[in-house]
Amino acid sequence: MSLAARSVSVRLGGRLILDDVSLICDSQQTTALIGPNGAGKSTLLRTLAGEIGASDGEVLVDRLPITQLSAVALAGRRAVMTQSSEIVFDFTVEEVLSLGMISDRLRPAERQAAIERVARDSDIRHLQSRSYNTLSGGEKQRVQFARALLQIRPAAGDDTDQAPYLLLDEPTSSLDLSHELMLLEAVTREASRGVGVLIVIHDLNLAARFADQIALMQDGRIMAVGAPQEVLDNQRLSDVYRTPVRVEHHQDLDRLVVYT
Amino acid sequence: MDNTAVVTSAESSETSRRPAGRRAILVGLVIGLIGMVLLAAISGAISISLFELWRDTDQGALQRTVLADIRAPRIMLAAFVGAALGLAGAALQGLFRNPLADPGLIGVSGGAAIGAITFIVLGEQLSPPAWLSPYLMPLAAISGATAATMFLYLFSKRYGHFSVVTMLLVGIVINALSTVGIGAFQYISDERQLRALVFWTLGSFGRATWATVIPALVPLAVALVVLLRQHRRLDQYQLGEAEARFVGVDVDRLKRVIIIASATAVGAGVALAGIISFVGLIVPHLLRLMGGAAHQYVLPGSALLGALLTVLADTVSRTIAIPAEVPVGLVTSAIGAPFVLWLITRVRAR
Repeated sequence: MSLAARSVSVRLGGRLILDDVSLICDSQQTTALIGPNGAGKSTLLRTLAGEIGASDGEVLVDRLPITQLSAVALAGRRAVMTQSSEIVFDFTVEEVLSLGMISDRLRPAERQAAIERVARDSDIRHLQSRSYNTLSGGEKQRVQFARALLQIRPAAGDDTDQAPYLLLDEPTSSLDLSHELMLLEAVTREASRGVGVLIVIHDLNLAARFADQIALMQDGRIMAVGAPQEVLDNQRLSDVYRTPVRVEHHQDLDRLVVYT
Repeated sequence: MDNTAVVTSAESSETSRRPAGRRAILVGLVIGLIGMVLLAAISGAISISLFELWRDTDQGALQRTVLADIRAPRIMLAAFVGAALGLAGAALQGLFRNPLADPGLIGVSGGAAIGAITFIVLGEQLSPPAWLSPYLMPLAAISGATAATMFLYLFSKRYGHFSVVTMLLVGIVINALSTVGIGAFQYISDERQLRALVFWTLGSFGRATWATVIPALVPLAVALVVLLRQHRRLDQYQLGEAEARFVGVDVDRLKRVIIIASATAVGAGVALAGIISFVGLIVPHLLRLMGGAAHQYVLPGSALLGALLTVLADTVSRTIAIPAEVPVGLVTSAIGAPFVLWLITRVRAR
């Protein structure tokens, strides 16, 4: 089961943003999208989410063309966390969370339990009755992450032939060190229970540590895709980012470490 | 968008709002509305006493006639138009994600007036059958309101966000056009028509009779029901347009439904009562201040409070200078204008 882009090109306003991109995000795996600004990472994520239509090629959700799924059907299959977290009017955190609750089959007690669980995963239980607009940027980001988790939560385990997908666009951009790790550990837990995760992330150390698969993008194309140790190569990263980058295996930590 | 974010963070409070508190507010509004309707029914140039009403005297008969034929349709119209303005205001503010959207300020009412005036001018040439004209007038006003809302929506979409400035400027343009329409009509009308025309610009429920009220109330009531049903989708829409799609909202359909239903509710009201400003702006704002922004509460609350305040304003307008009558739009504008000033200072204060 997978969420896949097959030879996808996207043209926006006459400009080619994605150029013949193919990528497979398997369920039970975390795929990290890395690359410099303007490489097309967000566009690829939004195309895989079904927001942007492919000019050429197609996006397949478990082998079904995404264009054949209605907005409601798609919402049951994948949750998306974008970089926008502003809400004009005054909602409580609990209300914002419940907006992600799209399954109407749950009883009130089950709803409450599901909300409690994601709130614990994102460390926002103490914020639940707060007004969303009084939160800091990082706290808002954690709430939005919890909302996305809640959207795919009931779907897991329901159907064995349909995997849920979680698409995250720079979910840790405003988070402190510990919450950054907390979020990525929650992401790993989601993947291990069958969710296919696609995450756009700038921190190469985090990508190396948490991703099963890394796709490196540049100028609308995928330059390399594979396991972290295959993709994160000194020469390749230095070329793509146009700055000297060194990747080493750290003996004590037993993982890849990226220096600039 | 930046400015509006400031308004809301200023009005945010740390406390949570329990559904019980909201239910209490809604129940209070229902009771308040019933009380206000009763008060409106007994006050006026001829005050009605509950004892006299049932007596078989000349006085009792007069009071019964006044109540049944003059006051009841008038109060009913005021209540429904107020509910329409409050609810349309709340729904449009949700759609534009902007607390300054008001059917009057942004030109929806003006569009309805243009539609109605066009019908008055052209209607005399067309000379439709008499039984049809009570329906055609609201229809023309609804078309005008829909066109204005669509124009506003497409125009602000073209320039990116629904910024407060763009929205209000487009509203000024539509309102200016409707002023031109009304002015041109004034120029060609005689003394008697002129007096009736004041009603377009200032609003009045004084022309309400059962024969004219019923045809307009039917589409209006349908529109109210349609709007009330959008609460969940409107909440989700606050996450952002793309984000609402991601949680399964058919955004294009939601926009169409809200634009057409709001324009129908407002247009039907304008056809009978003229332009009444500020109700749609004040009412949703007060409700959010009291109980938060969830539309499941804000939408019905705005309908109730809009009805209550409009019946109150109409009662004031016809009792403050007996036997003369002050246009109801004067009353709402006199209260609403300082309110908007206050709102602007809140937006500016960081």
